[in-house]
Amino acid sequence: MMARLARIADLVYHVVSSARVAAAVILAWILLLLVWIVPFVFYGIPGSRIQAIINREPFFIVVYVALIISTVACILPRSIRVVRRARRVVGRDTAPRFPSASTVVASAPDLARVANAVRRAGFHQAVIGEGWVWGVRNRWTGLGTLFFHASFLVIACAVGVVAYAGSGFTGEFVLTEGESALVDSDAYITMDGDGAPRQLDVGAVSIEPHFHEDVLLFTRLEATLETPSGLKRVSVGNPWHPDILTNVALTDFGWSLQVTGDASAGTTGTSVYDLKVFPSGTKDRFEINLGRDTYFVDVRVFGDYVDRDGQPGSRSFNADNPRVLISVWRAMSNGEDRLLIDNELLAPGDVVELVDATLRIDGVLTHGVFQVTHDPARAVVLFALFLGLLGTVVRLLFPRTELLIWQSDEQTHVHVRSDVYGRQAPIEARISSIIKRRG
Amino acid sequence: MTPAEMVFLAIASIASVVSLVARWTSKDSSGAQAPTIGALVAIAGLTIVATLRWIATGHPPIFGTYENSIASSIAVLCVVVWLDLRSVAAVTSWHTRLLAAWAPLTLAYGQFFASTRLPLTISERSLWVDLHVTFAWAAYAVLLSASMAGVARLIDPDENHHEMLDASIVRGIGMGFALFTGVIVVGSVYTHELFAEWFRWEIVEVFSAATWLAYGLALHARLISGWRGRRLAWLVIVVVPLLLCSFWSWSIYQNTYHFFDIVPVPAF
Repeated sequence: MMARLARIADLVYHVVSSARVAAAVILAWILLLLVWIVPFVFYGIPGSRIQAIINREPFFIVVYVALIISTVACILPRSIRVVRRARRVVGRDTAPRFPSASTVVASAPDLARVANAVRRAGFHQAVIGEGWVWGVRNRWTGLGTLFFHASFLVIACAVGVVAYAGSGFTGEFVLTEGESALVDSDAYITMDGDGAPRQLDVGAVSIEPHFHEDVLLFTRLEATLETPSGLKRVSVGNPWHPDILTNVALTDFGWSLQVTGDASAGTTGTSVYDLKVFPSGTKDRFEINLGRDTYFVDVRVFGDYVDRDGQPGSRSFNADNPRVLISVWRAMSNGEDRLLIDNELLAPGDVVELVDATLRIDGVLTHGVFQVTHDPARAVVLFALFLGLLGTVVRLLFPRTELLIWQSDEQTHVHVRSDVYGRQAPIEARISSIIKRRG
Repeated sequence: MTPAEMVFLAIASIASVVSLVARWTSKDSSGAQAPTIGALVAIAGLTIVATLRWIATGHPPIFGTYENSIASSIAVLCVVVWLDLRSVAAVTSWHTRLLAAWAPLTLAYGQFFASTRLPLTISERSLWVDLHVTFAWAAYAVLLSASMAGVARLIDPDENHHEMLDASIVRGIGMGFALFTGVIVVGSVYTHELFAEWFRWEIVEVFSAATWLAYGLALHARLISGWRGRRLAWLVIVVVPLLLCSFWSWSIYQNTYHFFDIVPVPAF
């Protein structure tokens, strides 16, 4: 019975660790992507739904699990062989097997000089034996295979744990130039993920968007933030990392209007309203209490203002030299709001008269939308990505290459072999020409 | 496009066509230097075009299909010249004949797109992006070379060439896979900086993932299962459509973060 079980276990292990199963699983993954995901993407299914399919659909999960099992089963037994192969060097007294194919040089120079030439050609670890020279370069790069497969397993596990445990957090908050805030759960305008909202103590010194000439081509969006660790410059592709697991990225911007209300009695003061008035000409509305009245203000902002035959316009999408087109309604208790000011074009500093109050346009400011992401897997995934890249690059771009030079019948034979790409005739030719020159 | 740019682009295009024709018409590779010289002239011309644009726009040629057709052609021609220099026989081999054809074809394709000189948009202003694109065109050229070696392996009747072509396929897959891994890793790190996501399953990235897996499969087939010859050649040929979709689908399909043939919308 036990022997039978052992045979079955052996058979299962043999199948799971086979190259054919690994190939079948990779092929299944490719087919799932091409047959299922590509049409959905072309069809315009939102990215979040595509992500959900890839993360949670049973077909994909089966592929991921099979790939992890296959990788572990493949790589574990082979890793001992890989390490042994990387450690291997030919001993001075152990004559290597001379291969049948080689480049032949019709001279037989002193082997010590040949060994020196070989070392200069990059085969630093050269061994001189009885009538032969053996050398190796990139001795340890075979270990890259292990690094690469290990990194794949680490990424799969880290991303899987975070995706299924839901321990991450993503939220957005808005900050206007000159504003400081303790960003906590109340300050976030959107929140996603099961992790605790990240608290931040931050102020916006400046937020600078810039567009190319007169076209809608964003060429700059940069914020200077005041943080407990000093001033930080944050742009779209350069987030601030309060710690290694957290990103604070500037993802969007908008225009804000700063106004000062003055009334002989009741509410007065300066306020800033974050508006959706970009691009120029887009209308938004805010409500303001002044004196004893409430007013509704319709706003259009024209950045880089230009008069187009009596109509307000913009030379570019930038906010320099702005004008504000406003209409003001006084809120009435019967719901029939009374229009006080109809489409009046104002420059910063201009004042409009309302009922028992005045409203001054102080200026147009910029607010930024900041996305905070706390990703518990960030450090692990970053490490694994670089480990994987390192493994692939050293293994495939700098493969372990062995050289064997031996002499017989006044001839010198040169054979160079890489453990990935096989015989290396160009290197053999280069070494041969060096030997010819010295022989 | 300025007159100077137009002149150098024309020189480069003509040189790449002359190099190609010389490859196809030379019967004997010994002493056939015209193909290599033509390719070198084309590289020089395209490098001047890229430099002129770089000076004017402040960025390398990575923005939009026109600029990328230049970058891609430079990469392909560099691989062609590298193959020429490695072996005299390569100059008129089926491998370089097929591979060299991609440079003028790509340059011609680029002419269908706007060549307006524009500065980079904010998301592209990063050394990560420069590195990503450099890895990308290097990987593309090397993998395309492997696939063209595959086609050559099937159509070249001279069996003496088969060993060299087999070696070219394997070397192309290996080096190309490493470079493609660089493309994905660098892209992934920058995607996380931009969007706090490691991978966005939009069209270019889905095709890239499938292509990367396919070349990984080919590499396993060679290194673990010992595939070689016609079987491996067929495998790298089958992957070519995926490779082209990964590297060019963004130029015709707009709903991707990799689309940069921006139509400038003026202010009003």
